[in-house]
Amino acid sequence: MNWEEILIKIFNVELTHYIVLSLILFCIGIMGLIISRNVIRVLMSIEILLSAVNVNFVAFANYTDLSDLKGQVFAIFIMAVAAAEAALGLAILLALYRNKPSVDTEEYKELKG
Amino acid sequence: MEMQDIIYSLFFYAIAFVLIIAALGIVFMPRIVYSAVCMIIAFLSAAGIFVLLNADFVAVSQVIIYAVGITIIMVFAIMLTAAREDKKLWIAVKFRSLVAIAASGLLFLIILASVTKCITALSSRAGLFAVQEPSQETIQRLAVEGTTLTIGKALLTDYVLPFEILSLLLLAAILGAVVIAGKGQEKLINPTTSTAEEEP
Repeated sequence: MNWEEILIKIFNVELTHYIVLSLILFCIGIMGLIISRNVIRVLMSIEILLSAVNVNFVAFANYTDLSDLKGQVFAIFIMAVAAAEAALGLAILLALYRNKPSVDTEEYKELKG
Repeated sequence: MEMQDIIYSLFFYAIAFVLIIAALGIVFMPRIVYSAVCMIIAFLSAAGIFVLLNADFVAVSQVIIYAVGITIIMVFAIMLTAAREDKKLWIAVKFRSLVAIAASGLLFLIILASVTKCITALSSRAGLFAVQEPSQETIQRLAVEGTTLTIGKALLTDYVLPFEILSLLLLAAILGAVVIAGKGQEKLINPTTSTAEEEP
C-alpha cells in the first residue's frame, strides 16, 4: 500500500472513523471510572461513557438508515436516561455526604457489596 | 476525492481531537472544577460530531441536556460537597489504576482490531446491515427540513411505549432524587455514624 492510498484512506472519513472515535471515548471513560478518586469525577466518567455510546448510535444512523433515523431516536432516549442518572447520582452523593463528609472513593469502605 | 470531502474530514479530525483531549482532561485534570470545564468542552464538541453526522436535533439536545443541564448538576455537586483538599483526590495511585489502564488499553486494541478487520466482512454480507454512504439527495432533504419531523414521528408511532415509559422513569427519578437527597432522614442514618448512637 503506497502513501497515496493511505492518505486517501485517512482523509476519507467513514463509519470506521466514528466507531474508533467512540471506542477511544469509551476506553477513556472506563479508565476514569476506575482510577479516579473523586466521586464527582466518577459521575463525569459515566457521562463520557454514555456520550460515546451516543456517538456510535448516531454514526450508525447516518451510515445505515438515513431515512428512518432509528439510531437518533435511541440517542434521544439515552440522553433522557443520562439526565435521570445524573440527578439520582447527585442525590445519592448528597445522601452519602451527609453521613460522611468526604468525596473520596477510598473513604467509603463500609459500602460492602 | 473532492474538496468537500477533504474539508469534511478536516472538520472531523479537528472536532475529534478537541473531544479526545477534553475527555482526557476530565479524567486527568488535577482540580475537579477544571474537569467540569473540560466536560463542557467535551459535550460541545460531541454536539459538533453530531452536526457532522446530519443529526441536528440530537446536536441541539446534546447542547441543552448535556452541556447545560448535566454540567449544572455536576457544578452543584462540586459546590455542595465543597472538597477542601481536592488536590489530594487526583487519581488513585494503587494497583487497580494499573489494571484499569491495562484493561482499557486491551479493550481498545481488541475492538480496534475487530472494527478494522471485520466491519468490511460484516457489511458485505447482505442482511446484517448495509453500510453505505448517505446519498446526496437525502442530505439535501435533511438540510432543508431537518431531522425533527422524522424523530417526532418515530417517537409518537413506533416508539410510543418506550416514550411513555421514559416519562415515567423521569418522574420516578425526580421523586427518588427528592426522597434520597431531602432532609428529615435522620432516623435512617446508618449505625456507624455518631447521630444514630445518640438515639435510645
